[in-house]
Amino acid sequence: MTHQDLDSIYTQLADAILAAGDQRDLFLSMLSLKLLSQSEDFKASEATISEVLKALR
Amino acid sequence: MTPVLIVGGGPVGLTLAALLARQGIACVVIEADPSYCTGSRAICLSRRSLEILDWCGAAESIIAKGLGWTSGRSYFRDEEVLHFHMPHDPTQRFAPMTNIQQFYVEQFVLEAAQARWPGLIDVRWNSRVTKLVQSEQSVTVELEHQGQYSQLSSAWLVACDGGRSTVRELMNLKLHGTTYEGRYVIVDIKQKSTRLQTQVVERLAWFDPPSNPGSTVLMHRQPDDVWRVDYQLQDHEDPDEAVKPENVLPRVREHLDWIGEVEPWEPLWISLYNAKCLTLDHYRYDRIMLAGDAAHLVPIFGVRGLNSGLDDAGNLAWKLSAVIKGNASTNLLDSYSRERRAATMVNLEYGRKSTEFMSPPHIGFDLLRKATLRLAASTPEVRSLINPRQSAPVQYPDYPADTQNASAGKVAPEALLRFRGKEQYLTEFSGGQFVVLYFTEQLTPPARMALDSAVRILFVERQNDPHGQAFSRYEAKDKTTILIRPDGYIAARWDSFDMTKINQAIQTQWCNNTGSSS
Repeated sequence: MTHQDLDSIYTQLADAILAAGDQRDLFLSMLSLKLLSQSEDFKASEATISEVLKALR
Repeated sequence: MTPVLIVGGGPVGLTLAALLARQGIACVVIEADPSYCTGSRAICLSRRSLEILDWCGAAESIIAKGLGWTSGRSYFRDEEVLHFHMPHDPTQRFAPMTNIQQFYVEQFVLEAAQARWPGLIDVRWNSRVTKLVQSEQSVTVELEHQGQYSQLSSAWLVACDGGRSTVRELMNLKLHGTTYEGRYVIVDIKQKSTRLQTQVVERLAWFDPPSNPGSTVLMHRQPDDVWRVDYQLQDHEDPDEAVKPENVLPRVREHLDWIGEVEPWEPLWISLYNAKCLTLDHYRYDRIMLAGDAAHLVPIFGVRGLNSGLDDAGNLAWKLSAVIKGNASTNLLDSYSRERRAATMVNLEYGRKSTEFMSPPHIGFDLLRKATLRLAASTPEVRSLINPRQSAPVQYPDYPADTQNASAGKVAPEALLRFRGKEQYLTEFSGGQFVVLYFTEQLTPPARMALDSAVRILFVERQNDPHGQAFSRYEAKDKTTILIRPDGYIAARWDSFDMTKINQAIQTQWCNNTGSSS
């Protein structure tokens, strides 16, 4: 993804989170699940979940 | 009648005055303050701005006093998450950014201009415009100076009187756009630096630092042992309370202690800032033009405020001069408005993106900033989102995008050349005249034809281009010919040297008709 595309996604995602209102946790969970389910690499998806969990701490 | 009245003696107004003086045009500058500004205000000058200031004769003093920098670091809590570098090589004469207090810029520009072009700039301090009337032939203002009122007429008026422009208000012009809620406290302090004994000058940013949890702290080093410290206020904080010294100083002290800056310090200046993305619809209203913050307000993040104002001055000076001298139609001034407003729209877009990160306007951006900062250490792909998107010259849109003129409308690249044994930078030749670059493998000067006195031809031979910069940066071949406007922007390009085409292209510029010139 180019820097411009990432910039654009950043803004769209921020506005979508705002639009989701009280359901933003659910929205982000649904989004994550949808994106991970499209991956063909199960191991990579598992690693991504672990990595994000680690970064969260 | 005064040819040009400039309202506002800040850096944009004085730079415009200097560039006009360089063209032999006299002007009166009206400034409400008794002298140069107080507080450091705009402190980061881009390389492009220094090129413009060099045309005023001020760059040498600014470099001698200022602190150049090429990189910056961002931290999340106590971990570095971004170390960015701006393009730079040792042959360049200016750093990508130079930090210097605004009052020095004002002083150096005025002193240099008055020394080089004496008698052309009349600055009237402590003076305010109180009324303004425009006719077909002139603009007349009422001035107030220490309780005395007088009138002054000029052929042209340029408002460079800042974000709270009196001229804009008297003309009942409205800025349009977005004003953001998030606020930053801006503090200048004087302190010798422990850090800089071992580290270079860099732009420093901390997100959620232990010294100020939940906040963002920015630091820039300035000359005279001064730090600029900006910190973000949180939503629940009262801005009026927040700028009181008893509330500011403990937070600054906490941060200085945390980063190991332990020398004694004192505050110099405290101010409050919130980001604005605002612009006028037009920058020309018959005989009145607006420039700098009077015409547009861009967020400080990315330092596009003063830097875009100086580009306004560079753009307007040669056009106004050509109109006053009778070389160009007054329509040329419409291109000032069109080009610089287009640049503002680009700057506002960058400013909006920077602000969304630096001062998140809603919970969506707030969450994404937290996510980006937490991921940045392990996920390099997201680090570009933290980059402050520093000021860069904007391409003007009026030029045809065909292959021959793909570079037209862009700022002319810098190159270090050697003429008669002396090294000179290409940008040194702009600021007053059109410049024609004629690239040649072996010097066989084209037949000279009648050239306007406002044009200078530079023969760029391979042997004059010791670093190969000019040939490569202009993608030039033998006989490539490039026309550069007085403000350092490329106007046209050809595969061969043809004086008729060059003169036509200049006439096209002066008639404000930037069509294809191939």
